[in-house]
Amino acid sequence: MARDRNTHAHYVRPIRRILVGLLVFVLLAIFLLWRIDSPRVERFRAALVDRVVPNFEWALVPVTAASGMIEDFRSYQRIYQQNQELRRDLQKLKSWKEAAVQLEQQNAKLLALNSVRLDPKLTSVSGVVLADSGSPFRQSVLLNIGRRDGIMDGWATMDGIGLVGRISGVGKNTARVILLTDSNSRIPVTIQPSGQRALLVGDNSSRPPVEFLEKPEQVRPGDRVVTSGDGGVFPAGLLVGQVAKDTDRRLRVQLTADYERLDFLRVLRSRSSEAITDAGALLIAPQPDLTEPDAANSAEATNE
Amino acid sequence: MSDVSPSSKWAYRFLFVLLVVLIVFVRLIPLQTTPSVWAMPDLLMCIIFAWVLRRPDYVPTLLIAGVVLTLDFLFMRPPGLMAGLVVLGAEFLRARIHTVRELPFSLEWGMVASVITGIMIANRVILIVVMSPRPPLGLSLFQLFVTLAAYPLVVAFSRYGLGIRKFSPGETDALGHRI
Repeated sequence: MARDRNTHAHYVRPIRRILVGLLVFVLLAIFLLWRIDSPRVERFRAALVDRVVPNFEWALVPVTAASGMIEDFRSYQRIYQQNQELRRDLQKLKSWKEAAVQLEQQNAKLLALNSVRLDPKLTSVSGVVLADSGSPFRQSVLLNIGRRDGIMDGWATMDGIGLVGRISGVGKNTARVILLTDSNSRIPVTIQPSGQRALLVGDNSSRPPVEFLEKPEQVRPGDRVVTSGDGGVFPAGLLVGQVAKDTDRRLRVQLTADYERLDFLRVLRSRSSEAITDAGALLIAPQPDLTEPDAANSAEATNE
Repeated sequence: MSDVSPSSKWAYRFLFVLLVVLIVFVRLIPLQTTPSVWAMPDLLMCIIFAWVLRRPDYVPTLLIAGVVLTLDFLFMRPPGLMAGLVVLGAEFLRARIHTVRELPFSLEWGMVASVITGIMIANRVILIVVMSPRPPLGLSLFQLFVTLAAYPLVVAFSRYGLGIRKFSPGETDALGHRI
């Protein structure tokens, strides 16, 4: 079929094809670069998000607030049921309050006896959730605080009570929080009261499973899960949630933080604790060639 | 007949960018921070393919590449991969405009569906090859089906809402060339 545009298409089409090929090549090169040198590209991503998303803030915040109001309004419809539930809860809480008051007094006494200081360096910065990840495959939120406010990668983020996630990606004005539910999230935790160490592994479900547990039979549903501080990832003792047993008998964690309504988050300023590297000059005289095997032996001994 | 004057062409390109900003905005609102079992359709892909088959001059390749790459970055996807695949898919369809023009809509839908499915499969296969973490399969499949289901709606919206229709045979552009 002869078309008159073919006269110029003779030379336009091959050139166009080459240019498009080049474009696709550049795009795939960006992808490979991201795969090879992820931190650099992720830093670029954080900077880009930092430039773009705050422009939406004037609209994002009111829309979010309005939808929250609609949600609240809907809950009025079943206000009677709620009232009944709240009364029942109140009854339960009264007995708990009694127990808590007693424990608090006991705790205060014990603390005074020991004069314990509970990690005095732990202070926090609060931020507002600007946006979520925009994709059902990634679980993260964007906060309106960033490098300007001294936020650093890896810090723990909490809502009022429970751990929410950790900072990953800091721009000048924004910081991204990878939630515990994201499939890239791995948090070392301790399960109380048995004191077992495990890893909380996000899997894109609302109740992340607990893995690498040494003795699962010692863990019961309802046990408290707190961060263990292993590996210097987080400060120890932040509340994460409660153990729950899934229908497939896997242990999962019911998160304490209210993931339905993440609006204000606290970012904990944690400073890395000082690492003890030498063996102690007073106890052991410096013996440079013997310290290595010694350290290895003692490590084995503690493992056993 | 609708004229293809340069000013209306730029107006529609601007409209395309506006639609993209709207999509970004809606998806970034932090309404749901719990993991969901359903996914939104990839409306951007529908818009791009519907427009490419109707008015290829409204969505030039460079614009497609830029927009999808930006969204890759904003939506925490592996940057560049989806952009490259969508550009390839759009080129595939762009080369078949003259065939599609004479097809009924159901066949066009089938063609676009196979392109979108191909993009999703290629995306997953490449992620497997480079050993990158992949989204859950069920959610991806769900998103694929919703996207395919959304295509006719996007076409209807473009046709009746925005007045973007297929070229009729013999129509010419501003310079008198046949399109």
